[in-house]
Amino acid sequence: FRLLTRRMSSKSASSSAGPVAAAIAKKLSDAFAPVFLDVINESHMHSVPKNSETHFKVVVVSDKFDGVGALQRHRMVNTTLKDELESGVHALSIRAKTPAQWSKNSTVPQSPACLGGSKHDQKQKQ
Amino acid sequence: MIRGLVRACGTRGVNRPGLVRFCSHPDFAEKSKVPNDEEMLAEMKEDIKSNPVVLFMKGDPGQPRCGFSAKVASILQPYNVKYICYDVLADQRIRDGVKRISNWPTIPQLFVDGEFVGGCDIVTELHRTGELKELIGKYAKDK
Repeated sequence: FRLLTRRMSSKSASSSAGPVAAAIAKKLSDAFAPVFLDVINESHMHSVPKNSETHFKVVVVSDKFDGVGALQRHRMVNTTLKDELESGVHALSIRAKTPAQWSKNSTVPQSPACLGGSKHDQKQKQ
Repeated sequence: MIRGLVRACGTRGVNRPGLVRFCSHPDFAEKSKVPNDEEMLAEMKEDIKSNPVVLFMKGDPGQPRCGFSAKVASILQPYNVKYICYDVLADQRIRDGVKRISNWPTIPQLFVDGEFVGGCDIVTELHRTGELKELIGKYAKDK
């Protein structure tokens, strides 16, 4: 059974996932065959232009994480999304759980509020 | 020269004595020389190797410029440990360099005993489970 969800925050102006979100979802789906996957564009929470795809949270529930420590799980996700992380995505919050862990606790903490660091990145680009 | 090296203590605010903000390393101050990329990277590696707790973040603990960085700094604060803190926004080479050292793409980054521990998500989880206390509790300063 596989449940694939793609969603943007209700605060986002876009009504559908952008190309980066779509690519992230496909790559994570292909790599981890997850029983649950959520790709959330959190860019609107940061000081970046409207409709940006720079800050994401991903929730990946897969038995490929069985017996794998937290750091290594995150490295697996980072490696899968290497291209995106090198080309524009510079914040990636990861929840990587096994199905057993997810069944015990499926809460996903809210990401912290932006404190303006992204403005620095925008200035660097100018 | 602003180099982005901030020495911080877990319980100290920005203005406490002993906290130097944006200081030049003494070696470079004498030479009045801007470190090249290799020197910068070597110094970062040496700091990671020779200091028990090293945090790379956006901004500094007193004035973080990123929510994820602020969260890690706030997690460290009650542990009462003295740690080295680099502001990756002060010099792009710091930001690029730490990513090469850790092979980790995002900021913040926490190193303990010379090893990369994780970013915000992992540090938050380690704090929740008590594993972070096992890692850095021994470095708590006496009050």
